[in-house]
Amino acid sequence: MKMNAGQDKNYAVLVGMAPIGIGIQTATNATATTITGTGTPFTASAYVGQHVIASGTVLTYGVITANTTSVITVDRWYNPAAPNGAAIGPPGNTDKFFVMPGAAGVPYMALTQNTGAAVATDTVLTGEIVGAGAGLIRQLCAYAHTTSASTYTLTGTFTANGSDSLGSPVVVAKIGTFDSLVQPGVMFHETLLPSTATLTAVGDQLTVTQTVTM
Amino acid sequence: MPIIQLGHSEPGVITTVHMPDSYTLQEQVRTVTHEDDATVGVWRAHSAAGAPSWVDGDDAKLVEALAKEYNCPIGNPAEKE
Repeated sequence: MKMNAGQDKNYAVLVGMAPIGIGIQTATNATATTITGTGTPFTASAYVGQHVIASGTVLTYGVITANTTSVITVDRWYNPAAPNGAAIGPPGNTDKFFVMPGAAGVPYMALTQNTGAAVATDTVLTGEIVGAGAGLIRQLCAYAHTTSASTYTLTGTFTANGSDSLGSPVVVAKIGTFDSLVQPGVMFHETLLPSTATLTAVGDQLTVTQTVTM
Repeated sequence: MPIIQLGHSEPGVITTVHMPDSYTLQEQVRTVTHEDDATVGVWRAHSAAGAPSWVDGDDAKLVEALAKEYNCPIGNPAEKE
């Protein structure tokens, strides 16, 4: 099921969301989740869901989760060479940055044991599996499209490892797709699996494909 | 991200897959080929055919592994003409 927030995301991705009037900015401060422009160059809350790209000390990007007229807040700073890996940065205090036209896509998938029905107004995946270094946590997935098809797919392969809580079996019942590797992010789809999948040991795997009609 | 192309029997119809760098080769192959009663991988989600007509891409090890798995040739025949 596509979430209500997913409808908004769909619009934003397709329309492009050009940040009209914003040029390249020079940072005056940056943290693990923020970057501050020079003066007040931004329109408050106008860029939520877009990417900000910074270059200088590090080359990095983040998904904008909020912005004031001077400060942009991101989910984290991604390494473009390893978006599924650890966060990098933050950018340097005088690095250049800009807001990228177009909304951030939705290539991340998360799992839960929760069996509740998907509801369009849901904004979080209840009971999302988490755990530092675990194999069953939210991840960047494979995405695929066939020539001229009206659909695309997002496929995740999750491999349980020693950091997963496998003391009792993990019974995966539902997945969610997101625009961020970190919680919360915007949940685009929430889908119950056709049947639950039980993982009991390190090395157990689950492959899930979400088919999306465009 | 490695990019893999899976050819359909209809000329010009191709499934293009962008694969996470973080996946192991085994996970990448499984992501494409997986199929059981409950869930399927990329190929089955995009085609009812048992296997692609051909496979190609920018990751030689993954392309070779998929060609072996599906017993299909490597390379888009349209680009060999």
